[in-house]
Amino acid sequence: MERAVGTWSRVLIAALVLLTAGVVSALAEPPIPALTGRVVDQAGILDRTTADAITSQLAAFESSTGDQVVVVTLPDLKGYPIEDWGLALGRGWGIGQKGKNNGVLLIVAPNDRELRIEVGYGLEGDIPDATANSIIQQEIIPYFKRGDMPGGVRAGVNAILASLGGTYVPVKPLKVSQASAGSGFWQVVPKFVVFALIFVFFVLTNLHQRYDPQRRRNTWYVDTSGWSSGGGGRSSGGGFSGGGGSFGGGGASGRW
Amino acid sequence: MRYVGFAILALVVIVVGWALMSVNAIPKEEETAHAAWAQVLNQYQRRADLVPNLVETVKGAAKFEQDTLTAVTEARARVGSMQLSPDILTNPEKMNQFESNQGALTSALSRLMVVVEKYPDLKATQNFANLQAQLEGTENRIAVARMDFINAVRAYNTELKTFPGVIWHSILYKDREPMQQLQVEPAKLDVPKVDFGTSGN
Repeated sequence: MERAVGTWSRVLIAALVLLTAGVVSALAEPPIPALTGRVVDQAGILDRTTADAITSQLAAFESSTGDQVVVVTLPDLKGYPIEDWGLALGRGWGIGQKGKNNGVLLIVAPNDRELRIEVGYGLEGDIPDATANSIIQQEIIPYFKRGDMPGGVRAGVNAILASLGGTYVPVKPLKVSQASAGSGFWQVVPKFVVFALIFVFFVLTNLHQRYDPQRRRNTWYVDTSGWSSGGGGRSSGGGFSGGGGSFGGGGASGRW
Repeated sequence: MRYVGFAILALVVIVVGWALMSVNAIPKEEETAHAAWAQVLNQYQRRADLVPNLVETVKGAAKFEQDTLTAVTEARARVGSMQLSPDILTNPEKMNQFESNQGALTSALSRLMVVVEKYPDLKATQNFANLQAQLEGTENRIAVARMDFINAVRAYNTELKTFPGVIWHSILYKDREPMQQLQVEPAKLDVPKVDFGTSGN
C-alpha cells in the first residue's frame, strides 16, 4: 500500500506539472505602474492644482462622451521605446470601454524628453496619426521647450478633448467599432473548474456514504463557509479603473 | 488512506473535466490566429496605400533621389502584386516570400526617410509632416499586429502540441497543421524614426 501511495503521488506530481505547463510565460514588457487615477504623475511634473483640474476635466468628459483619457508621466523609459510603453499601459490598464476601445493616453517622459499620444482602436478615426502628431508638435512641444510642463500637458489634454469632440479637426470621421467578447463571468472562472467541482462534490459524497455507513447522517453536510461570491468587481478604491479597452498602436510620438 | 484516494480521484476528475472542456480550444485558437493574421495584412495594406502618396510628395522636392524613389516604387509594386494563397499560414516557402517582399518595402521606405533629411524645405511642409506621421503610425501598427499574430500562433501551436489539445488534435482535428511563426520583427528593427539627425547615410 505504501508503495502504491508512492507511485500515485508521483502521478499526482506529474499531473500538476502538466497542468501548470499550460501557463505561458509573459513577454518582456515595460513594468506598468498602478492606475491611481486619471492623472498618473509618476515623474512628478504636475502641481496639485493642475493635476486636480485635469482629473475633473477628464472625468466630466468621460461622463458626457464615454471616452476615457488618461495622462501618465514616467520618470524613466527604462530603455523601452515609448511606443512599447503606450501599448503596455493602454492594454494593461484597459483604458476605454470594452468593445468600444475608446481610450486615449497622453504619455510624457520628461527625463527622456519624449512624449506620445496613444490612441485606442475605436478612436483612431477621431484622432488620426496626423492629428496626434500636430497636437504634439504644435500644441504641446512649444510649452515643453520653454520648460512649462504643466502648461504643455494642459494644452495637450485640451487639444485631445477637442479632437474627440470634433472641434480640433472639422471633419468627424467614421468610428470603427470592434466586436465585443463573451460575458465576463465565464472568462474569469473557467468552465471546467465549476464542472469539476460539482462532479467532485457528488463523487465524494457518494463515496463517503459507501465507505462510512455509520456517519451517513453527516455525509450530506456541506461546509459552505469557505465560499465567497466571485463577483467581477474591479474597482480598486481609487474610484477610477479602465473599462477593458484595447489598443493597436495608433497615435504619434515626438521629442523635444 | 481514504483521503489519499479521494484526493487522487478528485484530481483525476479535474484533469478529465479540464480535458473535456478544452475540446473547442483548437478551433478557437485557430480563429484567433486567423483574425490576428487578417490584422497584419490590414496594416500592411494601409502602408501600401500610403506609399504612392508619399512618393508623389517627395518627388517634387527631392529631384535627385531617383534611385531611392524607384526602389520604393518597385518594392511597393512587388507587395501589391503578391498572390496570397490560403495556405500561406502553414506553408513556410510562401510565408518567407511574403516576409521578404514586405521587408524590402520596409527597408526601401526607411532609406527614403533618411534621404529626405537632406531636404529641410520638404520636411517643413504640412503635407509631408502628415505623411511622415502616418507612415510612423502605420509601422507601429504593423509591429503591434505582428506581435499579436506571433502570440496567437504561439498559443495555437502550443495547443496542438500539449495535453489535452494533443489528444483532440489526434482525434478530431487531424488536418490541422502548426502555423508558420514570423521571424524577428523586421518592422520593429529598422522602423523609420523621427531623429535621423545623428545617423549617417
